[in-house]
Amino acid sequence: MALAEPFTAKDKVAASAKRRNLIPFLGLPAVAVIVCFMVGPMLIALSFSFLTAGVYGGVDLPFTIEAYRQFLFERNLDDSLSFDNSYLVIYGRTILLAGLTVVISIVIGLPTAWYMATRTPKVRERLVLLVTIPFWTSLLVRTYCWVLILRDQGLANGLLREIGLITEPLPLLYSYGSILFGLVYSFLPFMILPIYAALEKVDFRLIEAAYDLYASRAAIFLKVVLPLAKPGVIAGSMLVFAPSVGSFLAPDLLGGGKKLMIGSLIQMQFTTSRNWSFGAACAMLLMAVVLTVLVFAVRQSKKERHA
Amino acid sequence: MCRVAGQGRIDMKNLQLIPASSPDPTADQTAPSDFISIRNVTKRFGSVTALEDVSLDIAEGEFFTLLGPSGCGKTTLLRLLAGFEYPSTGEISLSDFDLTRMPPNKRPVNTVFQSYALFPHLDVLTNVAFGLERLGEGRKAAKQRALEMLDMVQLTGFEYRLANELSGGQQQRVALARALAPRPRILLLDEPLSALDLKLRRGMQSELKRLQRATGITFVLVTHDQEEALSMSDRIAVMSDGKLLQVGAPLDIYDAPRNRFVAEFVGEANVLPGRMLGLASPYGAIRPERVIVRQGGAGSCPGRVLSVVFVGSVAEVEIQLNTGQEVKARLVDGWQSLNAGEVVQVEFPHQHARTLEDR
Amino acid sequence: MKHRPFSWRTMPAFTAVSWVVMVFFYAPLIILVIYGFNANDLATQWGGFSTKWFVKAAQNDDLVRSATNSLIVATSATLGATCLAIPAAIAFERGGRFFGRTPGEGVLSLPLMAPDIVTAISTLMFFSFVGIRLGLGNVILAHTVFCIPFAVLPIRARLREMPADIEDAARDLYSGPWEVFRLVTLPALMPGIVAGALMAFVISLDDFIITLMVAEAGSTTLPVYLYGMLRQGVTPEANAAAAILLVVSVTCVVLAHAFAKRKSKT
Repeated sequence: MALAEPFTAKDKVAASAKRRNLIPFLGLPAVAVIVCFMVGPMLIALSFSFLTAGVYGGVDLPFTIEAYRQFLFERNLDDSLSFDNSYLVIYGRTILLAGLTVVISIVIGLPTAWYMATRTPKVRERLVLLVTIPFWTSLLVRTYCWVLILRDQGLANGLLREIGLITEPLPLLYSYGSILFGLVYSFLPFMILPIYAALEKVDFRLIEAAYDLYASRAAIFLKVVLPLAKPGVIAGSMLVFAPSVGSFLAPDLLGGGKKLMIGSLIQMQFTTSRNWSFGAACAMLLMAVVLTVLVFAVRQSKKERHA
Repeated sequence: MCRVAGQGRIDMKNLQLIPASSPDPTADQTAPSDFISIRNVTKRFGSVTALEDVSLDIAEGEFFTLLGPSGCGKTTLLRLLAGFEYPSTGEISLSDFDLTRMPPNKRPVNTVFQSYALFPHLDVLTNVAFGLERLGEGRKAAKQRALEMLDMVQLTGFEYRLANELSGGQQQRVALARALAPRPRILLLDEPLSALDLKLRRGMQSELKRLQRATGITFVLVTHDQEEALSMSDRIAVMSDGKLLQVGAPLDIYDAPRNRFVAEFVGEANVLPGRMLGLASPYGAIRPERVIVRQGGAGSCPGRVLSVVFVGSVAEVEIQLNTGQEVKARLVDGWQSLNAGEVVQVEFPHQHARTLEDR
Repeated sequence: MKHRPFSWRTMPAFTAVSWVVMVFFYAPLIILVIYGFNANDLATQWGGFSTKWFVKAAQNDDLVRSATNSLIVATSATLGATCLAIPAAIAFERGGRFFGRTPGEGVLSLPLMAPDIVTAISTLMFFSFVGIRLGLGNVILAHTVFCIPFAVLPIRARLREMPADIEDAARDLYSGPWEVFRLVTLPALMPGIVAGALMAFVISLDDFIITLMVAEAGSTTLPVYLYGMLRQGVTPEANAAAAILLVVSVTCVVLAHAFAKRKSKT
């Protein structure tokens, strides 16, 4: 570059002004792709939920709220409507199970994250990797592992029979318990990692010094550990709740599909039942549940920050 | 060659300035006083004014230091010289070339960053050769020159290390070699020694001075360390709050501070009402080593010793005058017999008292 | 009586819980791999060590085809997502404050927040509504979208902790904007990009529900095929196939971690 191109004062001003303003535009392609292929599809799902279900799948005009009506009411033979709570029960059951998953995850995840955060940096790094690996491993494979362990001819029953505790296999699989177990197993890393991230920044020596003599361990836990962990707990709860409430694999493989949950209900509308508009409506109602919890969580964490 | 607003060219391979008016580049060019010329430069970031109406000339081949506390605008001024920021108003020129809004890659100016900013993915040799290769130097020639530069900063044998495998002092030398390799007209140094420990810093100070003499390149150094500034610079500009307070040779700045800030920031000073020092101005200053302390007897300025602290070559004595002011004296002799609480007479020799323009 | 000072390092209950959790995480995975090497025809009864089920899995054409599909999809989606993620990471990390920043970040994190099943059925209806029928292309497109945020995260992290001033230093040393990017930003960003790409690869490789809904008959991926196998019943062959999928994912994560670790040293 022996010869630099000539440039004038005007060019230089324009170039510097442009360079500053062009950087944000680099984000445009990625955002556009997600808008086109995820936000767009969700809007289509929303509008499909207000259309009439086609006979062989798909949707037809006219616009209707039939799909949402179907959620609460059963249409009798004489076209009258009677209240039907079976879908509400499915939603309630799923939300309850997801909520329980969150609670159990906190109870297990908080001590684990606390333990991790109080190690030396080197050990910390290894522990984080140990928690991260399951986080990225195929959910299908991880859920399937529990089928192998819990089924009638599985490892758990086999061992119990070996040591003579039982003669007949215990029905470990295909229960709410096994679904809950699978959900906690699936999403526990989502709880541990945010709590760990919150606790990692804390200088533990200060706590140790302040509470050196006069506080019982219970007081320390309630007055120090919990408040410090709270932002992480809130974020983790959201991250565990959202995939739990929409989960398909754990209820399907560990629940045997007999205890119908939201995920399976939605999936069925696009496979066996071929009722797209009802499926879309169920998905939108699921989205509403997740968004409500999200708004609640964001508000909680904001309150936390102001306090 | 690149023409700059019809005034001349910058040879972007050799980083030479070729004024259009002078047909013979070897002829005496411009008066040294306006080599770098900063005219009424103001820089605002949003509502914050980092620099306010700064005007300054720096001569060719000078070791010039911008001295001031953090946040005084010295680094901003350096970044304006490098081209990372452009002034909000005002002009910067180099000889006859308008640098005001010239991008950094077109200026014959290189920077040694406070963080060193070595490229983490390149080895030492490639780091040093980087600028030369960008200027169109052949790979071989660039490498050759880089080796010479590494020799100059005494890092021969470290060519193929990565930056993170070097100590702080070594990284500092690489950064220096990298910035000097393209033979810039101006070298900017942003607090280059602040990350080094005291002993290394002393060594690097004399090394920097040696390099500047050897290369003849104009150095502009930013520092908050007055001792560093006094010991290395040909001239110093003291800055505070985005304003230039005083420019001059180290001795001038030390010996004739213009105002209270300069007096107290560069060295230590007793700032007292002018009449106590025999001056006509409302305020004056005198250095602690110029203060004379006598035991007992009568005098115009009695006081009581507050403390005597031996610091090595001298002792620092704090005295409260009967008029209320506290005065510091630095004594080589005669402090051994002073005790706290003792009544003494303080004298301020008139020839060492300095008038301050404002307080 | 003197109170024993509280030690945050030795909370015995916490330590015990943590190690139980680690066992809880890994024991099932190890058991699966062991079952993969089981010689017995019955999936969960030990009959000696054997690699025959891996051989049998390799001879199953449908399984191999779905695994090939998985690799094609994951590779393409990784490429696409990474190429989109690099400029996006730069925009949000270096763009300062700009109009549309908050909604932009929201959109970028949408694939992380939305339940997979909702994404799955929305994409299914979108493809049917718009009439896109590209076979494997549909799957690749869907995967690219949800892989983007996973590729963005490590790149942003790298940008945040990249040595300060190196881009300024490059400009100072006579590099134009493009040279700064090509010679300094991109190479210095590389560990983050590789980590991001590996993350995207794993996420795509492991995805099940979205592929289940979106994929047409010929374009199923390994997890979807595996799911079909599992629905037929627990077989040693399925164990072997699941073990392979598991090992590939874990390898990718460990590699990504190694790259992320390298970045913190520079």
